[in-house]
Amino acid sequence: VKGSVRVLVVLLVVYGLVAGTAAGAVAARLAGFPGSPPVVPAADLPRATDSVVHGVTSGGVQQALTKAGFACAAGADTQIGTIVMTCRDGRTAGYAISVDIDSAPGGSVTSVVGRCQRSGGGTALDVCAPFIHGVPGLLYPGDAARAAAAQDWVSHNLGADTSTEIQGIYYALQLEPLLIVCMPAA
Amino acid sequence: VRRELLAGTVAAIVALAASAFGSFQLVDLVTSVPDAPRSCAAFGSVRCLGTLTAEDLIRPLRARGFECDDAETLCYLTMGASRYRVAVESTGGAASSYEVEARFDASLGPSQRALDLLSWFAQAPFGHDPLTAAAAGRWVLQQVRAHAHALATVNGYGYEVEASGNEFDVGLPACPPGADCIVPLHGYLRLAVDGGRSR
Repeated sequence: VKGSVRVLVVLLVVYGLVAGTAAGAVAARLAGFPGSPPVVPAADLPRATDSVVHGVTSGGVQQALTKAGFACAAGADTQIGTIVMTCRDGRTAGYAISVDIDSAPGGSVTSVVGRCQRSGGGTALDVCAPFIHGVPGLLYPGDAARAAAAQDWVSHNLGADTSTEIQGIYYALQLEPLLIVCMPAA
Repeated sequence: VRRELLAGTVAAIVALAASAFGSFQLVDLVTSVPDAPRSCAAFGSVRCLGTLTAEDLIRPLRARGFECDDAETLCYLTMGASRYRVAVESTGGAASSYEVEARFDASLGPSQRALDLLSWFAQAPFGHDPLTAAAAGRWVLQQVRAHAHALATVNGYGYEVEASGNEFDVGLPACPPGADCIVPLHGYLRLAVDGGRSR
């Protein structure tokens, strides 16, 4: 009887080794080998949907500018698939004042560029300042409080070549020629 | 007899647990081999990035709106004041090298998204080896923070990080398209990873 028990014990141990090895191999296989995907990308990778200013459409900006006396006309599609609308203010003699509105095919704004130049060349901060100051407000329709931070920054930096990010929007100011760029910081 | 039977059962359970643990570690070690460089079929000395395919890299980019060419070797994304370019070299579907570039306004520095993109590409060859993946990602981000131009070999793969702010001699144009060059994006990051060459 003792001999049979010993054989049984040995068999149990052997069974334990075989079953354990098989289970370990299966577990390791399920844990990653091979053909499992490479490292899963982080959720925060750059994505095209972040290239638009959410909630702001080209039509809305155009409407605001038209109310302010600008005349808007569609430009050509750009190489990267955005649509450009140019709005001009012809009421200030001797100055070329315009706003370029880039938008994605769905109409959401991808960038707004305000330009103000004296026709004869040279800068004219005094004449252009109110216009440049008002451009960031186009991205905050009906929300003057949110526009204030960007407009304060413009007031303090007008005349410099500089840039910043405020509330997810990238702003760049340039003196020569005078312009302001507004687009998602992304 | 009962005592021997009980001892045998306990020994069998211990053997089961020990062999399961041991074989898991062994198989895990063996299966980390897919993360090592290997010769690309029929391409001589060029080495591929383990089991990584071009599709593994391109698919997540396409899903995020990157524009990729049909050959799936080049992908671009322009978003706001940032530009990205990814180039993947592959042989028979297996990735043999890739390069990631990001441009941004140097005065603001790279965005968190740009850093995440570089970090992911740093980790990509090590899908079966999370520790090495994390170490590779950390090393790349350290070079970026140090504004360094650095070379390293990670588990046989060649890594090159260009984060020294050199705005010249780079692949991405310095201005966003359609912007009349009014926003020069002088900030620049580049990560290149390759499987190296077999001797």
